Amino acid sequence: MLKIENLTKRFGGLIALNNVNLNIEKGEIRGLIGPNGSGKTTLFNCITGFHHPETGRIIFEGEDITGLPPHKIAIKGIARTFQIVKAFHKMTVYESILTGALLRAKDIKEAREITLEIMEFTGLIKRRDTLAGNLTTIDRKKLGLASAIATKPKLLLLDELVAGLTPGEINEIIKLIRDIRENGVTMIIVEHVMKFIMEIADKITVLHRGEIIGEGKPEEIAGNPKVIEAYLGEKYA
Amino acid sequence: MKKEYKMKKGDEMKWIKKIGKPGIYLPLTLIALTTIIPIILPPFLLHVAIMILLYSYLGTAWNILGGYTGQFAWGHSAFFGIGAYTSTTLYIYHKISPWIGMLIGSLFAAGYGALCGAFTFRFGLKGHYFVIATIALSEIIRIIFINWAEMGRAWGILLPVVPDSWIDFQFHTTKLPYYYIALTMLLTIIIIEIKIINSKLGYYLTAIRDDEELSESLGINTFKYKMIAMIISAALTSFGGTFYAQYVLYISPETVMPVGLSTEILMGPIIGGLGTIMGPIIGAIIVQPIHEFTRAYITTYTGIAGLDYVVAGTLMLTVALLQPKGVIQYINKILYSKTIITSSSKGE
Amino acid sequence: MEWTLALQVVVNSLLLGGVYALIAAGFNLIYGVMDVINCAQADLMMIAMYTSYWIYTLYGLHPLTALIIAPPLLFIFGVLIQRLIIDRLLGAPLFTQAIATISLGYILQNLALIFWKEDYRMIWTDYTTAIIRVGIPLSLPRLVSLLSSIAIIAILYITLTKTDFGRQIRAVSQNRDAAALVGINVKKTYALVFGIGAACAGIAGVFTSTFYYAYPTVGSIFLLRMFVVVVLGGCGNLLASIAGGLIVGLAEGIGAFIIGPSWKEAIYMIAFLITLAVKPTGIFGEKRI
Repeated sequence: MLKIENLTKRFGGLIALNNVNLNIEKGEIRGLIGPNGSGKTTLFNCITGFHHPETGRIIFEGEDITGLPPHKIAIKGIARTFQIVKAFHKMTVYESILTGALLRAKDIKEAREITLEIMEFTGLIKRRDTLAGNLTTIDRKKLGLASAIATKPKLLLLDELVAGLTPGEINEIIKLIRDIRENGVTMIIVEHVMKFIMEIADKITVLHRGEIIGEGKPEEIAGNPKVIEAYLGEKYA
Repeated sequence: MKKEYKMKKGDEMKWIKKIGKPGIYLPLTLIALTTIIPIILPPFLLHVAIMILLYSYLGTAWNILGGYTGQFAWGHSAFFGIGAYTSTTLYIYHKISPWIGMLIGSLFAAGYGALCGAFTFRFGLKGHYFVIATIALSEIIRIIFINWAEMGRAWGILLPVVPDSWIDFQFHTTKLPYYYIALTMLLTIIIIEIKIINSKLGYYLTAIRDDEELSESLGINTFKYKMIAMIISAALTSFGGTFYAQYVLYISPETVMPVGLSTEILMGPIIGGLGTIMGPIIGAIIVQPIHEFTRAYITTYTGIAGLDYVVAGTLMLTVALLQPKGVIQYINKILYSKTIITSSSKGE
Repeated sequence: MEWTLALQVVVNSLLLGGVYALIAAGFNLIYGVMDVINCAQADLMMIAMYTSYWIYTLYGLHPLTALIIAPPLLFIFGVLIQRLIIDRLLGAPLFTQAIATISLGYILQNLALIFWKEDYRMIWTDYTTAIIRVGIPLSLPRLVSLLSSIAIIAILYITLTKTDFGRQIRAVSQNRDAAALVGINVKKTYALVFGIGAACAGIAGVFTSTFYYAYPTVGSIFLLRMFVVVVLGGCGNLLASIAGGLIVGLAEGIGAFIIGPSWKEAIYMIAFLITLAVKPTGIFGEKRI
């Protein structure tokens, strides 16, 4: 579904992504891990159009989407959440999700219905009229997720969704992710919390200093010496 | 799963929160505004009322770009002036009724708005860069008109005084028609505003104001929507320019295009409350009477010019310091038992 | 075109840029250290212009004597403004700050209007009309203004980079909390910086009064030019103010000569917009002091 070929991204003299090649199958949940600064968020930014790569191509469902502006990429069917949780601070939960739903809905009535569905699906219905700025951490993350899936994406990019959550909250999210997959959405998940990613991912790609140093099933990656070396000092959640 | 919440059409009606419970107040106010007030007011107060209506209108037009979309433009006097000059020159040189001139003026204003938007939004100018750029863009227009012979250069244009006429958009025996026209303009723009707020456009503009990147990631073409806001705001502002030209019957670059006018236009929304319906109106109700009264009484009798702006300036400063969200927050506290911002109640 | 004439135009245009640079330097200082946009900068300058005018008119003293009075006065005024107003707005969104300083400017302008009326005030003395000849005739007060402005900006720069006080300011500017942890009084530093910035406007005002007329809203002319200088040179970049000021002066002077005085505003305005489009961070780039 998503093919990344020879992607390189530089910031001045710093090479953030070096000749990255990646292949995501439809219906997959791909984990993307790596130490801080390895280029995970940069990769997301390149895919979603917030950064333009120096070389390489990004092909989504057979179409070259390299360098397209973010809103066009969202229209093509790729949605994302942000590592530093973003929200429409002065809008309520309902309004925020509605804004996402408006992308595909043909009128406000339909958008309303989609929003209702998603609020129930994520459990945010209890917080319907709370301002996004006043939410708890987990609700804010759920909101980011909710707005993203309101755009009915085919591919969903999640950036450190469970950072800072309690184990109970993490289980909530795991269930949500599985439900989303049931609905036919492919996902790439960037995560530091190992327990989460090991449990949820079909396959894991490991990024280190802008290069892919390993790819495979969770069990394989866990034992990979290069991966362990890259993470030297990192604790497992 | 049990559907606990029914989605009513009223769920979108968050504007009701902003205007106050319509119930009995709205029709009463409307009746007062249309019948009682204009009749009982003496000429000077009628003039003040007209100014309040005009600046409420202008503030609302600005608010579409400034309050709702979060783009702090400081150059709306250019659109105002373009409206004034277009209708005036078409009237004087081509005998076209100012009403038609008004519409044509809005086209030019929209065009210049598109230009300003294209320039500032294309290059991603934000924050103070955007503000300064809009000032520069409006100043350029003013300079062009100061040098334009057919537009009367710096001396401006005096409109010919004709007997009361609707086609010529001039009334002298009484200012009442101006009052009703201004009132109609204000009510119309409020209706337009409400329609926008409850539409996809409204949601998208507010989203852009709160977080542009997030908006883009949800498929919103921020450039396109900012342009739409700019163009609508510009066109609507220009109508006010024509009105002013027909009311005062004299226009010049100094009176219809200076930066000070842009400041005066946005003073209302800022003092009253950005991004709300009543904000610009409350702001105008506060600022305009101060302006007019100090000018009429204090300036005429004591010869001290400028006092009104001192007062207005102090007001803005106080508001900025104490309640950046605007006076409307105080009014909301009075009207409702709980403030809107912290309320998590359902519906209205 | 005669070469001496051309040279004259160019040099006189450059002279214009002196005070622009100085006002901009004060603004850049405040912005670079505190991230505050002081829209009242030019109006502070206006106050200094009047101070100089009244010193000459009421006491018959040479207008430049005001240099002893206006800058210190404005320094104190600046400190007060910072303490009473700006301090409360340090975390506020950008436009709240802008509104506050603009309102302040408004108030100053209109107080000036109330007390001193709207007449143009010009100082006519031997000094202000003096011309020296260095091959081409140059206006003496303008020359003095330019050279002094450059000197003062240089002094400011040296103070910032070489003295302890300057280091203190830079520490606060770069990391407020770290500076506080090291024992620097952040509030006091902010107040002083604002005061210095205001004093710069004061000095600029005194110099300007020797070749330009004062009136309550004269600030608005200089404010716009100041913004152009700031953006051209680079927001917060002290030394770039000199370059920016000279460029704006040049553009204005040459523009006035070629196209006509009433268009000269448009010239630098367009140059400004082009800069915003091409390199909004300025020719020399934004700088944290």
